[in-house]
Amino acid sequence: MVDAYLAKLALCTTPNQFNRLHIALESLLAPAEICALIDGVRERSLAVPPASVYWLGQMDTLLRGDGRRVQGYVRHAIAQGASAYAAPGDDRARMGRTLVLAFTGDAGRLMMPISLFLQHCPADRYEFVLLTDQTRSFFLPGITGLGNDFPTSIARLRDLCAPSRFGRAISFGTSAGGLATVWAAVALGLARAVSVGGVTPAEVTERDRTKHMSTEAFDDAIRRATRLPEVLLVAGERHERDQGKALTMSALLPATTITVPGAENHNVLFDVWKAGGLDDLLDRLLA
Amino acid sequence: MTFAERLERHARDRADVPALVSARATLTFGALVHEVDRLARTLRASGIDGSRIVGVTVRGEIDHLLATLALLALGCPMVALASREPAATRARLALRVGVALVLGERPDDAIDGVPFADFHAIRANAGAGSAVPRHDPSRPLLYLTGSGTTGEPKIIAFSERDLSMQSDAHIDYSRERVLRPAHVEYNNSKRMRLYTLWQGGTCILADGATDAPTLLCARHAVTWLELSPMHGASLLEATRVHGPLPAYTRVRIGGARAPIALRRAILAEVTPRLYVSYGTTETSFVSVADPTMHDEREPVGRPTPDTEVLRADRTRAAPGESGTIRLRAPGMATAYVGDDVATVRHFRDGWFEPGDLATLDVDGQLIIHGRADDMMIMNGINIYPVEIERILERHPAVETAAAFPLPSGVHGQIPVAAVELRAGMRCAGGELVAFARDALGVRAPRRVEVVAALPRNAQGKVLKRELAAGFARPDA
Amino acid sequence: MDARTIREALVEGLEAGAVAKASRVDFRGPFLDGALDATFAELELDSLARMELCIAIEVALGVSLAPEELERYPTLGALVADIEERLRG
Repeated sequence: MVDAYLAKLALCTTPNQFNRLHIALESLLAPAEICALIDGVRERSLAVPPASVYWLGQMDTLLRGDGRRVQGYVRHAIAQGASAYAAPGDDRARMGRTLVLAFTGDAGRLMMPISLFLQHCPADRYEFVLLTDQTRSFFLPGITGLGNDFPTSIARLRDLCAPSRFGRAISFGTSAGGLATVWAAVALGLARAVSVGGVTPAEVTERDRTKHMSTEAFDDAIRRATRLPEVLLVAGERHERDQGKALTMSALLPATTITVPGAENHNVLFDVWKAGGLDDLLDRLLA
Repeated sequence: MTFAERLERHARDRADVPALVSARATLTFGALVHEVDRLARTLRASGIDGSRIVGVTVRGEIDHLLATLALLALGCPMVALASREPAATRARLALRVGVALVLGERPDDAIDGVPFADFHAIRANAGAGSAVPRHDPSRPLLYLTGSGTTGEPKIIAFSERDLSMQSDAHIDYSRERVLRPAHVEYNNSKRMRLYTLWQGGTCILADGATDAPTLLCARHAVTWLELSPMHGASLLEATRVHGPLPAYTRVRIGGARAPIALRRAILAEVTPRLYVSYGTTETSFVSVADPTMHDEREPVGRPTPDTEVLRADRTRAAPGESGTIRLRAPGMATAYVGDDVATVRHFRDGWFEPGDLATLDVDGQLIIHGRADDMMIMNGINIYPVEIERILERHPAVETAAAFPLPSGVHGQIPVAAVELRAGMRCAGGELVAFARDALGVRAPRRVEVVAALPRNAQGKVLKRELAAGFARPDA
Repeated sequence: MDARTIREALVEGLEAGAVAKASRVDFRGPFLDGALDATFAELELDSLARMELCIAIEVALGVSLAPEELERYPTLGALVADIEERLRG
């Protein structure tokens, strides 16, 4: 893992190239993988470029700076647009966990590096499947590698991830992943959907790439559902647009809006993390 | 750590989490610790100090658990003398264990020649009593009767250390609300309730309520409903009357074979969240099949490497090959009380051998075929009753089948079966014989009798000896 | 290299940084046509978005800009103009 990183580092010369590599790693690697890079470079006393020194130091502070253990999530790819993060465990251990289908925003993250997010979710309680839409089309054309439209993709996802074997299965999404989050929970009969600053069908019509795409299947799914999930919509108190999105979604199905007090930015999760409140917020949203 | 110390920790960290819940009462961990301590002091002041083995006959489930926990706190060895068992059975168990005092509720609970203490009278005298001294958690305190339906029940004694290790290896109940309709006086319920409390989860107790489990689950927000297969069949009936379980309730069936027909019916009508587990009293939890794993083989999940299947020569069987099963587990029993012969036979080299036949299939699934003792030999051919039962239960008219041997001087043992039909169905035994012959050939039952109800013991296990005795009479 | 290509690279970078405005129907088309501009203030770029924008500019256009340097430009239009300058000479 360290050697692969070094090889990629060797190809970088400009600050932007280093940033591109590091952003990609932030959006993919589990906490233990990042820590293996940090520790591996340090243990082998490797000379790495300043951009790498800086990034490794930043990640060390983000992930372990408060003294917390490295969560034992192990990553494996399910499809091009889907990666699973789960600590090792036998059937008995896994049946007590909550499965979280997590739909990322346009930047392919959950408002922060995935490793930082996972550090705040105990690995003995959760397993994550991280879903990305690199076409930035709100997942309407489906998840790459799992089908050509959203309903097909989440049906395939259900077959692959077997939510029924877990104690609980929920969906979680940020920003551009918000609509997909609610839709997946409705269609798969999940216990809960959590949408943080999440988009609604209204934003679909506003975006150039998706303005001609239909969200009727979402309305159908709501109509046909025998039982609706608990829907939590999270928005910063002072972010009008996100408050507006929550209102819009609340009109489509029963939902509870959770307002983060004082929050002004769209990226409420990172702000809450900075204030030291992410463990509690995620516990409230996921548990 | 003793149980008392563990509960004290829960009283600190989750004081307001319900520990025991019934229709009439809720005891949080904070309140539970207080009640148990009070009762322990009172029992001690009445002369129960842990130096004698106590037989417990207490009918209310919350009361029974309080008594159990108080005796554990006192370091007092105990055995449940179940109120539902006949007097002779209770007396025999008390004798074998060496009960020196019966803690009961009614004069009838007393056992000849054994001192009796009135549980409620003692409780009513709850005075200060002095603090209970700490004891060694590795002392055997909880006497339980073991697995198996043949001969006298085997007796095991577990320490709190054993129970804590079993709890940690069991399903995670720490955030769950667990309902077991089977009374806490019984073995499996007793252990599971103690595991739940050890882990800090909530015990939902029917405690005499006669409501259907479906209603209890909704009323108490039950997240785990744990049943024997017999209770599973009742659950189907209850669902047809009262509607399905809440979406958050998972069902776990254990304790005996869960036929595929029952599993499918539950999946179709009661809940998709069906789990089937396998374990023994001697070793506790072994494995569990989750909702995605149910098929014709009737698997019970993928166990850890502490489960092995052995050939007759005691080498390990290959995947897919059947043999006898042996088990290891943290906190397991290592001997039977007062039965050296059975101990030597069943506990070997640090493993427990229940005497069950099983297969570890190529996909890692464990399949239990039944007791090795039940295997029949007809003219040198090995026939497992469970094979016959599975085939007969595929017939649309058959609800439950029980296969067993008729002894024959000529052939050794002849397989026959008795069946209960589905409600409203009619079928002749002869038709079932032909049906089974098609599938099983020489291993088919030579006679099948339709009975109104299979004879069963209190736990729901079919009493095949009684059936065999009935068959031996000439045909009417 | 024409201004439109530069603008496309900027939009690509903004979208990668999850800047919502960049994808909006009422912004994207007119901006690419050169008929609309936006201030950096109203775009509300966080550190990730600034990095993604610079990466896209470098990858698509070969111009190396550091994220901190973006502070020099009040609007996207000013940035487009400066990139055009650099590419010319």
